[in-house]
Amino acid sequence: MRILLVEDSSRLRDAVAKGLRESGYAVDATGDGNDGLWMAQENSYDVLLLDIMLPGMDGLTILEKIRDGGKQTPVLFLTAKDTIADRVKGLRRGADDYLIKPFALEELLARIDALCRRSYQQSSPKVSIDDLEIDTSAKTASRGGRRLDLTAREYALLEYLMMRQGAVVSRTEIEEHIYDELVSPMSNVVDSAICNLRRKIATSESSSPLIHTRRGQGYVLEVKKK
Amino acid sequence: MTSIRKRLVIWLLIGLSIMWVAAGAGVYYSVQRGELARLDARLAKLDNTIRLVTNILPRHMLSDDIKPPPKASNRGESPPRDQRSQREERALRDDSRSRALADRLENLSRENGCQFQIWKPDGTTILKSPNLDEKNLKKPVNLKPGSPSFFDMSGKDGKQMRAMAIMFRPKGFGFPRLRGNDPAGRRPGAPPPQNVPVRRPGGQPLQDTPRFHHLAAIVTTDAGPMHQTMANLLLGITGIGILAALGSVTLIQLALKSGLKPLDKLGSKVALIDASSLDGRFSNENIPRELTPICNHLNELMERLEESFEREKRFSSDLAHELRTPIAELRMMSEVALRWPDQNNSDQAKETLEIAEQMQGIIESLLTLGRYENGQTEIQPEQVDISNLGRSCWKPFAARAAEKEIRVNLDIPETQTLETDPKLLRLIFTNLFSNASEYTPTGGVIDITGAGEMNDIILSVSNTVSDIDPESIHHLFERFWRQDNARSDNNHSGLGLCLARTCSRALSLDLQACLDQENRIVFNLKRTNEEKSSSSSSGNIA
Repeated sequence: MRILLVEDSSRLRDAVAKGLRESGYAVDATGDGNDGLWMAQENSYDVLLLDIMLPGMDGLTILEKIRDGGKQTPVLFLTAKDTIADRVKGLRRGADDYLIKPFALEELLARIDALCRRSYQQSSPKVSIDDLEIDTSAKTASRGGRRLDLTAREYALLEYLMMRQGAVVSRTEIEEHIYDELVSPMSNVVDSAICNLRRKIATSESSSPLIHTRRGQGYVLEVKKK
Repeated sequence: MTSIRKRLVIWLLIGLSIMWVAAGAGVYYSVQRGELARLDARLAKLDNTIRLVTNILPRHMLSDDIKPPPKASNRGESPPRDQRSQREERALRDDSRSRALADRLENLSRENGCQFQIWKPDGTTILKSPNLDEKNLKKPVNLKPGSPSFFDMSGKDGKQMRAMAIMFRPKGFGFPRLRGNDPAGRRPGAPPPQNVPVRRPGGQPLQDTPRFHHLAAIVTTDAGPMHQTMANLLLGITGIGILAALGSVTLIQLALKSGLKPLDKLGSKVALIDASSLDGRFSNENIPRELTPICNHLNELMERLEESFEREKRFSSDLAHELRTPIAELRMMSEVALRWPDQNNSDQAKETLEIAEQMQGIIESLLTLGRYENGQTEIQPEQVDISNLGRSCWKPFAARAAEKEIRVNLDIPETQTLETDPKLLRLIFTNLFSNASEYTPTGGVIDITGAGEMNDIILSVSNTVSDIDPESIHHLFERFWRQDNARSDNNHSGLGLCLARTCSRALSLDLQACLDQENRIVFNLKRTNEEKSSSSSSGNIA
């Protein structure tokens, strides 16, 4: 899952970004409102984390412009403005959630997870296909009851594929949702990650392959009928 | 605790009681006076009657100059016939007089219930009312002829009596008159001249001019009915007074309850005021005229309180907001460091220290503000070299200005001094310079000038600004106010200019901000009249 964080406090921005990356999210971060709007409009994010009081352009205006542009990306406001009027104003402008500073990282992760599930029409944190199951809250994956040892990036890839199971997912989409702007789009990082993930979810020789390649299109996670 | 109601009740009761007592006493004494006048008139009437009675007394009883008629039994030889018939006639006349006198006295005593007694000057009783029996009334003393005196006395059986004492001559026996032609040529009946003797030389009385006594008389009448009437009146007045007092208490209570009702209502409304209802105001409609000023003052107080609360709420909100971000930074950094520890701890420690310093700066600024606003810090004035202080305060910001390629013109006269607290003045200068160096855009200009010749300016700091809203000038000295709402600058908390103004006020100086014609922001630190008067004798600014 790829997240855009727009926060003017550099120390808070760096700490949140680090926490999110360590939790398996791809994070793009900026401290300027105008840059944030441009990034939100140009890239495809699963969740936007916006501060309200920002230099250049405030978070509410960014949200309005994003919604005006037709994007329905879930938005979570991270702000020190704590009055009911502020919260109501933010939610009425189209925000999906509101978190007041200071906040716990755990709570932020849980809210981001909920927003991600909502955007993929998943209500339960547990998603499964065949005997493969992931828990989006605990960020764990298991197959046939056996826990899979995945890196954060591999888990993020599996989660994205699980969320879109049955649908063909292009490399570009994977890059946009799993990798942040620091990853070069020309690299074969997606192919390598898919290869590693296939290997890790094949827990035994009898395990049926679940990630299939569609030539020229991308990848699809599904159970193939024999 | 003093109670208006209680005080009014007490005062009204005391006042009304005095009025009731005065009215009762007035009625009582008026009636008593009337009754006494009636009794005295009756006594005067009796006196006239008694005086008339004295007219029928034998003349020898009224004057020592008239001998009593000789009794027949005492005579040795029978008088001549014409003398005998005269004596008989006189005796008959005396008997008739005695009977008439006895009848008159009896009637007088019985009909009028009065007692009287008449004395000769030597104290001999010549007449007294029959109902006195063997008893005598006390002879009055110090009487003057013709001047009756009235007084109360106790009767023979202890009854209360009203008495009148008078000295008189029996009617028709006044001053001695000379028979025949008056050698002095006086009119008949006119009083004798002082030098005319009433007796002949040698002690012999003038011919046919017997000297009649001044008689002392006392007439009494029963005053019991009057005293009974007065006792009944007193009882009535007392009863009415008690009823009036009880009625007054009730009326006063009702009147006060009704009169103080608006005050009670106002008090109830005031009691309902709390922090959430400070926007309410007291209506002057249907309020007594006396309470209108109180309502107006309460409304003014509410307005001041509302403003104060709003300011405090804004301040609390701003403070909370200012502290939320550094606390969020600390928390997030700590959580991340605990969950995913890495090797680069020194950077985190440095950032943690910066956050701590930032929060410390906010708190210290607030505490300093509070101290100077409440006047808790003593001002220690001394002669301060403004030029030296200005240059010393600018030093820490010179590097930042150079980094931003800001041109700085520092022009403070070497001789400029001011008698003030250098510590506070340093705070003012530092905050002004910090503000100028921070918000002057790259390549801008900062002018720092000292005292002008024609004005009261102590220091003027002006700098170019990139985009300032003229309306913002009014908010520059508010706590936590910053042009940049984002507050992304961790070095400034928005308290510096507020602190500078508070310090200037503590020093009786005035700090103002304005935009000049070139749209540069100018801060002027000026002397006020108060400061000038306190230091006029020393000639502070050289």
